[in-house]
Amino acid sequence: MNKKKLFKQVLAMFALFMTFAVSTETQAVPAFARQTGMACAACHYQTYPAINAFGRAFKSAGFTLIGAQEQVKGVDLGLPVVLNGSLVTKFRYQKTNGAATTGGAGATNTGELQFPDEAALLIGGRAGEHVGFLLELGTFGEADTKSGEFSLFGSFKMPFSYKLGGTNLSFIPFITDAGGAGYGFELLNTGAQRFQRVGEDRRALMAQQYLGLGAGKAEGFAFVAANEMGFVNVSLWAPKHGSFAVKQLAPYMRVAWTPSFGGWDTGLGVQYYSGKARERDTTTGLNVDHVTKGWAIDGQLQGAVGGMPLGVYAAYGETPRNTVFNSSLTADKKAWSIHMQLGVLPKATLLLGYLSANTGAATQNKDNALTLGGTYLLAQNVQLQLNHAMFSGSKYDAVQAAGDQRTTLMLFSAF
Amino acid sequence: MIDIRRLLLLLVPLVVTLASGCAPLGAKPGQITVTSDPAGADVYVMGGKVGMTPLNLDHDAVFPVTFPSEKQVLYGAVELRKAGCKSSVQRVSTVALAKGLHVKLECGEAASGEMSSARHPQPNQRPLSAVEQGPRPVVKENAAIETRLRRVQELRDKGVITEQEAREIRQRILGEL
Repeated sequence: MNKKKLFKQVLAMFALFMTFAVSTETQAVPAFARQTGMACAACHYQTYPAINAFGRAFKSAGFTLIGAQEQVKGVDLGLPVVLNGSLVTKFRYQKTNGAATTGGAGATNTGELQFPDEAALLIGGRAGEHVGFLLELGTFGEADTKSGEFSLFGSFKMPFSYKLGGTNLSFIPFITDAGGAGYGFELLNTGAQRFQRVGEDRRALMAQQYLGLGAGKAEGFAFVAANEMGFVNVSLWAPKHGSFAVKQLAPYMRVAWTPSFGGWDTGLGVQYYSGKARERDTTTGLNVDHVTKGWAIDGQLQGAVGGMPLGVYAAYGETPRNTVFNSSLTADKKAWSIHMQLGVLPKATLLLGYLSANTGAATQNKDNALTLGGTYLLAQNVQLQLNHAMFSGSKYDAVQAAGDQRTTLMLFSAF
Repeated sequence: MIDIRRLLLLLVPLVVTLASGCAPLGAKPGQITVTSDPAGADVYVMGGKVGMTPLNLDHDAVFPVTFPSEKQVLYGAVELRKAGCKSSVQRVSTVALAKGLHVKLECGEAASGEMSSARHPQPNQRPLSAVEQGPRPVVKENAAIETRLRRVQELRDKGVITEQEAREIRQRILGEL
């Protein structure tokens, strides 16, 4: 196809979508907003999916808080009369500056339209007075580890939450195709858990995401205690998605303190992975161990400077060699990061981040990233985000297939 | 070849132009327009008076970054109070954020100023039930005390209750402080 013609067609399609996206009334909002009758801004800080103190309270209560919606009520029954859902989509354009013309790098070096990068139907909310749920139905599905069949059950969790004094005590069975062990329960926006973050280019912004500590397949059980001052999450999990013959689950511990200081909503936490998950390979009859070792500390500040909302997020983490997080046999992986988002206009933010990492390779192992970006809220539930990451360090002394720069333009919507 | 710089140069202004012309956000981004019929109602958010209708409220006032846990029941809500009218509590929904809050107060003989409409939701209102599991904090009760005392005096003036009864009710209301 003529490239000029293709360019015009892409531009026309994008303009058409944008016209549709911003000209319709935003009556339709995501599942939780439908349930609570509250605006997206009630729970989210600056841009979704990052959450604020009230969002943390809603999550801590296991998604059970309900607002205007009518309920079906009876003995041991109290759920909304409708099943609340929302469609989440990410349309992305990503461009890297490498020389490769084949494979994944070849696509982004050319300039890759990722339509959709993500498209999922999220269904969730209150299932009972003490029971909530969140289900992510993916479009492409995930191969079940046992049968190999594809499932649309991407991520799912079902908190059973009871309030004791001012503290919510929860038991949360969970499974996720990409959210990591922290998917069971997480409240900070630092990157400790993949689905709860500020910027799109997560590996260039957040140490835990660079190290793989807050992402990947996971299933297990979370035991949580949470109140307005913080939370403790002790989980037993395995880096699997779907049915498998389990011999032993690995522990994951997360502790965070979330006090307020002088108008600043803060968070300070620790993630700790240890031990191993053991499964039985039912083909060979042998045990297979998944060693899960690593740790991270993280912190966040959410407040305002000069009347402009500001969020600052920082983390440091390490993953020992020869684990599910670090396949290197020679060295530990380490990374630290800091990024901040400043609301310069009511609908616009600027994003600045820096990450410095050791890849765990024997040589040329310094991997740094400087990220500049911003978001523009086209509607309460439609966000345009632009990130540009510039990589440096000894890793780039060798030519990288995807080069040393990456630009991501994303339209992130939740209807 | 699609040049990223060229694409961005064209798309970003296009999107911004479209968005600023059509986006369903309020006319004043970052603010929520609050009006009432009749006008001149006192507006309370997070337990404090912030002005009288009509007015524009900052998002941050309704959705503060930090707040005491006992005020969680007031988070995201706007309460309107006017003498002779039922007080009205409205949750700030997505629609309200886009179009503003427009509240028709129930006033006159039919209105019972003693009771907050949050406890007796009207068909077009959203009650404070998003946090209904939580205990009603003292600050919420305080919010209606002035109205309730005024209502007690009205009942006394009309002779509906005796002075002794009025005194007991006043003491009970003030005892909630």
